[in-house]
Amino acid sequence: MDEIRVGIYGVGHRGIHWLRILDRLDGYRITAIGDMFPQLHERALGELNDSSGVAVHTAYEDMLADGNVDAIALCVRCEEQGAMAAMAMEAGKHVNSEVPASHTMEDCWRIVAAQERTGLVYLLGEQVRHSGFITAWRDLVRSGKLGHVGYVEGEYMSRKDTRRYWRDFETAEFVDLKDLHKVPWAQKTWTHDMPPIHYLCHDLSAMLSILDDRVVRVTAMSTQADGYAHDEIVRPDIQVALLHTAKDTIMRMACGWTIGRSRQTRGHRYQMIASHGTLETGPTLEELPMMYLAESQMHEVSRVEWRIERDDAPEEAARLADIPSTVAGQRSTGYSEPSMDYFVHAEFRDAILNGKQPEFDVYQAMDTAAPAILAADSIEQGSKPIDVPDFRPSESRAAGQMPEEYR
Amino acid sequence: MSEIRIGLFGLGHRGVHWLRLLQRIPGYRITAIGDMFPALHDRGVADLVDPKGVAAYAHYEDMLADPNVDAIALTVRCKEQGAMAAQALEAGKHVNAEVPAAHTMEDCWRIVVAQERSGLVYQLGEQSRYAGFFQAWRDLVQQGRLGRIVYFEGEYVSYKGILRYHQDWDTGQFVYPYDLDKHPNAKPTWIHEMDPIHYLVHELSPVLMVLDDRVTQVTAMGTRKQSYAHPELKRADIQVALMKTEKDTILRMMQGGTQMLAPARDHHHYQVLGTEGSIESGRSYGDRHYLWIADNQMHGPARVDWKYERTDAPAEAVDSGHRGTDYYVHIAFRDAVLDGEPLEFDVYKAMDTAAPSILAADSIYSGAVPIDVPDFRPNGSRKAGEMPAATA
Repeated sequence: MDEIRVGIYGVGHRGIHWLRILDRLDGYRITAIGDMFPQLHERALGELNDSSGVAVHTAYEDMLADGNVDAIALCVRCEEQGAMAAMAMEAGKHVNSEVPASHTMEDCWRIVAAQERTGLVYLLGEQVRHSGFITAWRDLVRSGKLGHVGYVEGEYMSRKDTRRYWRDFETAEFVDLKDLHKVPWAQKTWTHDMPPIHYLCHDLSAMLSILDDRVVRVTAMSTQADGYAHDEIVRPDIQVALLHTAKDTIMRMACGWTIGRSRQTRGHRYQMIASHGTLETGPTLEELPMMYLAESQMHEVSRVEWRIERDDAPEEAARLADIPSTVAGQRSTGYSEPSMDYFVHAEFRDAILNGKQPEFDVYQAMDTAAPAILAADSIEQGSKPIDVPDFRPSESRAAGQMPEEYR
Repeated sequence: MSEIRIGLFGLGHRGVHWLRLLQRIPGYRITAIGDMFPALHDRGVADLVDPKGVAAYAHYEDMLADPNVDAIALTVRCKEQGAMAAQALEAGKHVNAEVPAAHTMEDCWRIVVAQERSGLVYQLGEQSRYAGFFQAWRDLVQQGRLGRIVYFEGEYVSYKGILRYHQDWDTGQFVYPYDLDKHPNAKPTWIHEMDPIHYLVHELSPVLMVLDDRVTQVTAMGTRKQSYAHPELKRADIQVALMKTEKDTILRMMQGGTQMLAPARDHHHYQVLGTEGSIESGRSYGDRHYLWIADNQMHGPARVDWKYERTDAPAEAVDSGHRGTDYYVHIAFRDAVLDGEPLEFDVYKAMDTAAPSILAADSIYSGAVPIDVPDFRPNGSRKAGEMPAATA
């Protein structure tokens, strides 16, 4: 195989962003697009350099049955997205999946077992782990310069607009809270119903990649189920988890999108406190990250010009630089940046075409999903601590098998 | 009573600081000093402006029996410090106690009950709540400018070297771990043995004051009980608690003292998030705070020059310690004893700072199991002056 025939399912704003990337990178040929909302198909086709011969599917199952599709780029945001990834592998397709990986433990296991049985490539398309500052922090921590990392903080907290919580199923358009009275038939989206803590994927992916570690236990707390910020949004304003890793690091992870924080305050913030130093992002967008290494002749904290952008992205990544940041006037790139998005799609391509083992394998992907799902379960159970399973094959589970409780 | 005859027990560095301060504030007269280490008595006496007639005690019980002592300034750091405060109340002495209030739940209750039975003044001498910036934060929060407060974090993560973890019982002096072979009678201190999370007092006291709230549930995690930074210390590098308050705010509280941090990193760091605004202290000493209010035409966070120091501090507060905040602790205690002024930081609020910390440690040792935090105020199931059924 010298190119991947890819079908993109889910052509909302993130799907369009992926489509623009895949249309520019060598090794990919988009052979199908799809979305459960047919109203979105034309827009997606219009984004393609050459839409001739590109199949259009409304039903996901039809895309999975398409013999011209080798791999699925899964860009949906729904409770079933984990099951949909597993279905793709079960149908013989490689999968590159938008985050989060899954919203149920059973779907996590189903993805793992399907990947093991088929040997196909599963990649969780999480990009923050590829950012410049995370790459630099990973090098520092793994060099042992900071000693043992005792505490890690990660969060995704901001004051997002109120546009994503309802959708008009007739037009497929999102309906802003202020317009809800004009579209009383609008339905709640998964973003509305999803426990905020389910969306720890970026933070866990980045931090666990630095630590080369996995979470073994989680407990969590939440404010009340009805948000305080908006009467109409039935969603907690904030959920916070404490997590303990196999290497004895304590992590505090938090999610909330109805928080009274300025747009100048960083949405994703990270901090590491180690036995011999600290690393921390600046609180605001204009502030540089901070570093202190106790045994490097540093008298005080240094401000280091690390960025999201990579300074070592190959020339090919430059092709992504002209990708617009919006779709239909709405931001599509999120926390992405072309030089780190590149690594996600290059890794997937190289795994399929060259058989190169992905650095971010299926087990590590589930290591980002399961603690988030179980954090929400912990909240439901009054902050009961819950052990997080190791998804790697073991004596109690052979590769390709579901664990006992799901057989 | 026109002055408080005070006996100060515990002549370590905090005790000596209190001793100096109490001699500068009208309304106090030092009539006794004491420490279980007699070797420290001379240092205490040397700090007295007029040591004539001041008794010196090696045994706490002897100080409690001294009729020339109206109130105890309790500046010890030991597992029994809560019980010692209760003992003083039971012996008919008012108590101003250094932090933390107690290290066991039973001692928390014993203090509460002794105070209720005796009607004497019990104050926990926690000073952060008097800091200028907390006064300002409290005003903003209680005016509703930040909307509903959903998250508040506080931490005391510091690095003060490794001297305080062993003490020579012959001399009372602290001993470095690498000098232990020269001090055969050196033993681990309570700071060494205490779970770091027990010392959340400077976080919980101001945070609960700002929120006018109390903790109802706690869960916590910690690193192993041996420092990674200094493996010779049998102490967790860091312990972290999540807490839920009665008003539905989530608190993240954290304590650590052995990891090597930049010297200028402020030991304390606080952040409050509301639905309509947020405030965060600076990371390093001298950094300005961040304030953002949604409905105030602010495009980005403002940097506000709030400090520990108060802008309304009287001259005598300025160099009283902890950037001028120690003064307020002793004024509040004095006015309560001499003038019957009600304490803003009463015995119940004091225990609201101690119990979640004690239970956080319990949670760590039970694998992060969530633990309910009792309300110490009298209610249908406990009358004032009675121990609760579980501890009676």
